[in-house]
Amino acid sequence: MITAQARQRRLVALIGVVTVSLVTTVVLGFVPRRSVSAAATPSVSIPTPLSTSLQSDAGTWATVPMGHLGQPRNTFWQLFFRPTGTATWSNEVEATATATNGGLELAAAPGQPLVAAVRPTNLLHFSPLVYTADGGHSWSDGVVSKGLASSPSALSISSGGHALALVDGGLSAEVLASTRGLSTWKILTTARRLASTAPGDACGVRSLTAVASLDGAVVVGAGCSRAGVAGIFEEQGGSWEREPVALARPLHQGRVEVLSLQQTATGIAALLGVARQGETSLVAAWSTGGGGWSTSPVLAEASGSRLVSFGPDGAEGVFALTATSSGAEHLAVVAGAGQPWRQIAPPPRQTETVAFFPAAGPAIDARPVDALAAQGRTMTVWALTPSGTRWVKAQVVHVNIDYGSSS
Amino acid sequence: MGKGLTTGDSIVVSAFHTALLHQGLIVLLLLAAAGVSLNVLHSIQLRRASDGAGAGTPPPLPAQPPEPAGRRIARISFGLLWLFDGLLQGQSSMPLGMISQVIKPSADGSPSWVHDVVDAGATIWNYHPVQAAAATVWIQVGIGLWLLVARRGAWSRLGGLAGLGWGLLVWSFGESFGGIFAPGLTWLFGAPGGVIFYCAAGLLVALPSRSWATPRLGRIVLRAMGTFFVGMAVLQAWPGRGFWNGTTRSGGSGSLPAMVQSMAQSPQPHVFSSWAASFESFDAAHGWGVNLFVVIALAAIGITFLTARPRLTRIGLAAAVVLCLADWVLIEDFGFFGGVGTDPNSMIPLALLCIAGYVALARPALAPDPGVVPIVAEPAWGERLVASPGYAFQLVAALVAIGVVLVGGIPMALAAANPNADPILATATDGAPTPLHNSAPAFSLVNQNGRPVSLSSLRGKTVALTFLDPVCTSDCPVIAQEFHEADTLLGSAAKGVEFIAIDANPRYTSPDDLVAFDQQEGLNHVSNWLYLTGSKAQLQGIWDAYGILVEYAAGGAMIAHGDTAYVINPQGDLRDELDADPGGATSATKSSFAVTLANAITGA
Repeated sequence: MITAQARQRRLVALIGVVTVSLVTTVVLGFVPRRSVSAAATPSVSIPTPLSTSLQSDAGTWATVPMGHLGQPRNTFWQLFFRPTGTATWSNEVEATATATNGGLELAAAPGQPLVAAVRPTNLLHFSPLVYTADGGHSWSDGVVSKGLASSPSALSISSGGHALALVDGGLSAEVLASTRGLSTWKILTTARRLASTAPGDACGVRSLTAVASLDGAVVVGAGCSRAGVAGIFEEQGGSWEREPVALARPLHQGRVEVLSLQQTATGIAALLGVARQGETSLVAAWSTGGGGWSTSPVLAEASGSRLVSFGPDGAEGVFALTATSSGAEHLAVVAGAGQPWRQIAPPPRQTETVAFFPAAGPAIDARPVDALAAQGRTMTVWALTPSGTRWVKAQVVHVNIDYGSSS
Repeated sequence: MGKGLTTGDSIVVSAFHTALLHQGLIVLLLLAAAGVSLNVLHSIQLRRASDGAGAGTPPPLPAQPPEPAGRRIARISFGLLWLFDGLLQGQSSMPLGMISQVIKPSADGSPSWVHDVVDAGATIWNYHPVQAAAATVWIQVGIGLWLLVARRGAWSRLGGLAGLGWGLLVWSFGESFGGIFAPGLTWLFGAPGGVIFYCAAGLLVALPSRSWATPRLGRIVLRAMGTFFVGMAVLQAWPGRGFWNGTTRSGGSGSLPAMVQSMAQSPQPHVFSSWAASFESFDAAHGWGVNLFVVIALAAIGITFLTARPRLTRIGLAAAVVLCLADWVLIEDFGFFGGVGTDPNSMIPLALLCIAGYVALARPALAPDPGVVPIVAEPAWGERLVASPGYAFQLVAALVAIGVVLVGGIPMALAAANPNADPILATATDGAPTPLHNSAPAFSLVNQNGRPVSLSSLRGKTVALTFLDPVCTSDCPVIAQEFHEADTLLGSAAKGVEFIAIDANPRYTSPDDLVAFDQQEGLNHVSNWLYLTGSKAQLQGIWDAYGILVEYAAGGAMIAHGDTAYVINPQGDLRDELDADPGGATSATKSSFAVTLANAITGA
């Protein structure tokens, strides 16, 4: 038998317990919690833009994204062409005959056609490609039966006509070599296979990022997990060797990723991204013959800036276009080993890439340059004045983008 | 790729109404049969009464104790709620809107295993939207009727169990477990899901009568509710969940105003949305104060319930009912507006459950005196059936209610067992196949392996033909999968069928392109799959002959071409033309098109 007094005591105890629970909850809830972002490890993978330009025998080609860039299915990559000896760009993207939402990747070499491959998108998981040897008058097609990796150097063609393709990504990446035209391919190596070799182990291969040919040999770029190591590998007699690229001491703590490998008249130029302490630095490197490599000074990206485009400068050098968080863009060019990075007049906002044309002389400043700025359906070409101090509007190209057609 | 079906699609809605009508006729038949049965029983009862008058009065049946008040409240109120919910399920938007607008959003933020559970139920509904929607109407109407008409005894308890079982299904598959595994859980928005209270009520009704004989059951119910209210108070008080602020730091709406805002946007009478909008403004301005009031109110109600003392509990109950009604009107916005409202949300069932618990505590049924032995034993059910008109009515009515449940339950079970989607989805997306009766235009091309193939070489086989772009990024892979699925559906009959695609891209015409597509779609080992190509001139001639418009698109878009499929009989005649636009390209629409194609092939 529970007395009224006992009931009252139990009631008071109950109210007390509930009140204490509520108060404890509120107090505990207000204790400051450690910020998750403070403990987060910065990403070591450097976002690699596909916007770029390159030279073929017939002229200069560039690929840029247009449309609603915040919506992948309404971002359509375009293929612009400026024939040698003219100052007018035309849009050749129709030649790809498929949706280009995944991006375009270009390859060219002296005496070889311009190859434009389509990256996978939506339900398309392999990469069709088209090529032209006559400046876009006629096109042929080929196919890579897997999806090209997201890198401007995922496709390469040598002056001898041998094509290389880097497919898939990360540790699933494979290097393919064409065996018959540009439609059949065989696997040369894979990221896992390369990682299991001694040179690969020294790098700690975590992804393959670029391919190129050097005197008929295959060169593969990688992202290394070991700090301060640049992963440029060359196949020699069926085995892989790591190229001896020495980085400046301040970069020894950074993770290095090969952003591009481009064939030049004398060898290969590489652009390396070095991620350290949440910031990215760029270094160019050139093969010097006899197995040696030399590097450029370090180009440090401003804090919070992003890489918009990079590519060949039309000769031996490399350009890098970056944008700050406010949208201001900066263009830097390095002409070759032993040369400094040179800042060029800041290109107009929304410039997606720049294109360098054959030089009248060796000086970079004398080299004609166009900046291709895209907004929605309009691509504006800006030309750098001969004085190199400002950009003037040279051409406006309207592109008929069919929004929603890829949904 | 076309857009998915809209919830108001006329073909699906019309089929839904037709299904409801047909099943309604069956229900009418059941009612007629019940009427006849009651008439017969009444005649028997009258005859027995007149026989008894001649041979002496038969002994009276022992008086049944009245149904406990708490149980009656739970049974009738939740019976009415199930009935109301069943009628809500009859809204036109239910077949196509239930998953996309009700079930999927309820799973937002829940862990992946909850999505897996929800997807399992959603697949059945998506594949058979008409059958599932109609079945839900009758199951819920049936359970509602069952609870209303079966007052006591095993039939009544079974009705409670039916409510509990169906409620658990709805709670897990339809309400994503009431969102209890998702962040942002709060009593104000309906946590832990209205249907869980239906389940609790079903459980109470299913309990044996003796459970209601003392205040113990009421105490258990109220203490459970008290624990629930206190738990919800703690959750509501927890900082960092957005309820203490009417607005966010960036000036946006806080959690509660944002919820009210979204509810107020449902189509509904203006007066109701204006109430919700007014509360939204008030909470945006006084978020801290509103939350403090809610926390205190929930905690206080919970404490009074935990005491389980009638006087305190009565006060707590009054507060709970007022708070629930206020929440129902101002925050949950009644819950059943907007065309896909499935129930009045959580507050009404919660309040009803509290009331039932209180009545069970304060007015328990009289326990039979253990010292009194009944003189007349309980008669058998058959005896009672012919002796008691009330019992006969209850039994027949309960059987009718069970019949109504089965009118929905049997088609639902059949639909769940059928792995292929209802062809009505393809019809709604693309229209019905168009019958044709002319010779199929001839073609002579090469297949993906470079071997020549002509239509005439396929005489004696049924041909399913379409036009696919090997580098298409949207429709063509879907259509290819639909053809593959139709092949699988046909089983051994597929031996007499060739599934053929003709290249629809003038740029990519080499067999290598076709092989890449086949590998991508897993068609490279399908023996009766042929992907044909030829010169551009050859292809153009065939496109023209079959009315397929193929053109380059500017700006980096796909090649544009018509999505059409044909069925050609073994004599080489066109029999059906099917619009093959994949629409929303869901697994349900793909399966539905495959069924339609397989049916057309079988009929050729």
